[in-house]
Amino acid sequence: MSDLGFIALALALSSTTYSVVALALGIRKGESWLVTAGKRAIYASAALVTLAVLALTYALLTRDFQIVYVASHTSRDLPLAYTLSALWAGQEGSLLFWAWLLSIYASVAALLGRRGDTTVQSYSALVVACVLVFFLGLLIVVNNPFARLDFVPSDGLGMNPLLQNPAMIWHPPVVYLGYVGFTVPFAMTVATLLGGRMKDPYVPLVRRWTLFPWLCLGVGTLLGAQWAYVELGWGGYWAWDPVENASLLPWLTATAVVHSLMFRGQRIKVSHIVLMVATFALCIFGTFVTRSGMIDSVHAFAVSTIGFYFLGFLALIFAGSVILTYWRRKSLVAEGETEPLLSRPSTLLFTIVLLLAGTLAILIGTLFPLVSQALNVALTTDYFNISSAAIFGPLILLMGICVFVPWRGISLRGLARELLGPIVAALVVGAIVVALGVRDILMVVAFSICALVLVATVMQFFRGLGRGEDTKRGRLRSALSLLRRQSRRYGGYLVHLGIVLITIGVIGSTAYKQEQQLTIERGSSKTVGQYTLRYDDFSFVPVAGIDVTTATLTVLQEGREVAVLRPERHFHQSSQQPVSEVDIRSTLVEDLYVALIGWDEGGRSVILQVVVSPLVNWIWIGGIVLLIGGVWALVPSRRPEGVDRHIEEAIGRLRKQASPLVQEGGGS
Amino acid sequence: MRPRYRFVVGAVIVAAVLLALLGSTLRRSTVYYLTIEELQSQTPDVYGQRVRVAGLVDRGSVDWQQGSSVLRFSMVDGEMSLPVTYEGLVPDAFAQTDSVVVEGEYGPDSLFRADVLVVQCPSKYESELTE
Repeated sequence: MSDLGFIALALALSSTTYSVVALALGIRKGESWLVTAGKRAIYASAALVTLAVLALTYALLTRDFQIVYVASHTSRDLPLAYTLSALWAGQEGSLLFWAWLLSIYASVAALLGRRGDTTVQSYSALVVACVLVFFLGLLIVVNNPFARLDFVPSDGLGMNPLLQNPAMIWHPPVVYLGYVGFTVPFAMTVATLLGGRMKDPYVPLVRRWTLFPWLCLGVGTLLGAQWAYVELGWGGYWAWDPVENASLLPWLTATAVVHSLMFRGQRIKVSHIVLMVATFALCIFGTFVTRSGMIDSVHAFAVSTIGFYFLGFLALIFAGSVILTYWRRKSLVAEGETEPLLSRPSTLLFTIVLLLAGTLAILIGTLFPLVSQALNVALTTDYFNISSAAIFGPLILLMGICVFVPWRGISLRGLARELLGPIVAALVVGAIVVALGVRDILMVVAFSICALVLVATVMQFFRGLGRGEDTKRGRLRSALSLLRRQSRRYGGYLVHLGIVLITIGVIGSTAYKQEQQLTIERGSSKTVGQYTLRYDDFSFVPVAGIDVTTATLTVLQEGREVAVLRPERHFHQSSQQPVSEVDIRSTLVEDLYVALIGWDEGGRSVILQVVVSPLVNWIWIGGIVLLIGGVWALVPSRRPEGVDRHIEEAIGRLRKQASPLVQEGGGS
Repeated sequence: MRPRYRFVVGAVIVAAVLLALLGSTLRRSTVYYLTIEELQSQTPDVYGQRVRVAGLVDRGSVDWQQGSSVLRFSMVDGEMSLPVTYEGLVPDAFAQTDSVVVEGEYGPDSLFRADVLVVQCPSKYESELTE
């Protein structure tokens, strides 16, 4: 079976290489049969890589321990679901998974692109095939997932218990769907440059292909944060670890891409190219950071062979894109049309600038460990907290303002009138927050901004509903049909709403987190914040190689019993590894998070890590809202591309003619 | 001013503010990062300073009761070794990690008192296979 897998991979590499050659020659010589053959070779590669994935899955399920990968990541007692997820637990498997997803994306893109512009579609198939050749080459030359031992171990090493969490099943695939997915819009960008068809509509071509991986990466990152929260036992969800940053960075630039696609005009611009190349490069960088361990161990930098290949690939992406853009510079659309400061193009531009500033600040912090030994200086997490607050704070505020700023601009007074409601809401919330005892002025401002954005965004929905009123159909039905017709706009507003909710959760749980280590005697109680914890019972049960220790605690609030928490500690005997199974009393106001970290003989007393994390649930709720918004925006609008915008522009022109004063006011 | 200049001036101001913020943040949020050798050669200047030190855990030296909040161990880097006491939540992954980073203060008693202990992320470790 393992031979079959390796042969399938080798054949996939040959067929993808063939497809690169056929596509390149076919496009160059104008031979459409070669182009068709090249595309068919991509489908064949997808089938072959699928076969290789099935072969590895089969080997995992049948515990074929002669295969190094199987022996290193599974064991006989590993449950079925985690055995399957071992496919992406190690380096070789993740690379195979990358290649598999890419081959499927490539096939879908080629299939959907049949009827489109053939030149751009063929070039983009060529670029995707080149990326696929790189990954398949790595799999065959450096990281063969089917490599064998010269003996058969009696049992495998198993999976690290910390990875044995349901999130292991869905978090990595969702993140990878995001990382890999950006290859397609990146290829389309390069294809547009290569094909020299800069007058063709570019924006509609890449929009949906960008939005899908953007959504996957965002949701995947949040799933990872949730996993860290429930598994690591310290009550946090984000530690600015290089591996966490690796998925945040391309998500930030991809958010910038999504916003840059909203600019008027459908042709490719230099800003599109820069943002798209940055996003794809950061995805490759992310895979590299996650898999190479470069940043954790400074000394392994470029020594591990795989890191070296990825660096070379990154250099190639950058050099290629710069040369290509320079070569096509004359036919690219001139940018720098000036727009009034208070107009949608300006707010979009500021959004993109702030997103890039945030990306840069986090990238500097992530790469800093590379130089910190040389400089004898290291960064603390304060660096990330301060710089992201300074950059993303204004960005959030901008989110609330931009929805009132139309394309053609608005006067300051007009904007102030529009913002009256949200500003009142912000002041009310500010007063409430102060009344609740918050004295830190920055926190009051932060919560007020969130309230402003929340009200401003919700107002947009009511306006939409209001607009549907005068039609003959039912009010709700017409409102829904409007939400459906303008799915991108309202999907976008929903995403904004999700982001504000996440921000509220992050602020609350960062600034007002209380953590304490408590030792409680059995039968007695201790108090944390407004909770009293009473330690009632202790049990120690060995089950199937795992020693499970459980403490039973009763939580009292104002003298009333509100919950019973049972934090556990699992000791995996095979790996000699302890794992906390925390218990959480979760409400919309705050989480009471308890991890069992120790006990004395017979459980006469227990040591607990207790964390009170206000508003943390809103992060996950915001994530769900973001997911719904993203899916909504992906639903195809019933109207053809661009019609909404033309109508909006026409209305803008009419307004301008009707009242020239408004326009002047906006320009001064 | 014509709109174009206004725009350029605006962009420059935004960039300058961002750079200034970045610079001051960088200055405010750094700690010394030393190897064990550098740490021990910089006494007595380094006493009482907040320092971060990286090294490998000497497994034989680990003195820790499951669940205790005080952990004692020796960190090694080549020939050099450094006794550490750490007070706080011991990460679950500590049991399986070789390489750690500690942050805290070094004292004249040659003991490193750490309040931050960072271990490698679990997604990366893979133990050795034996027959």
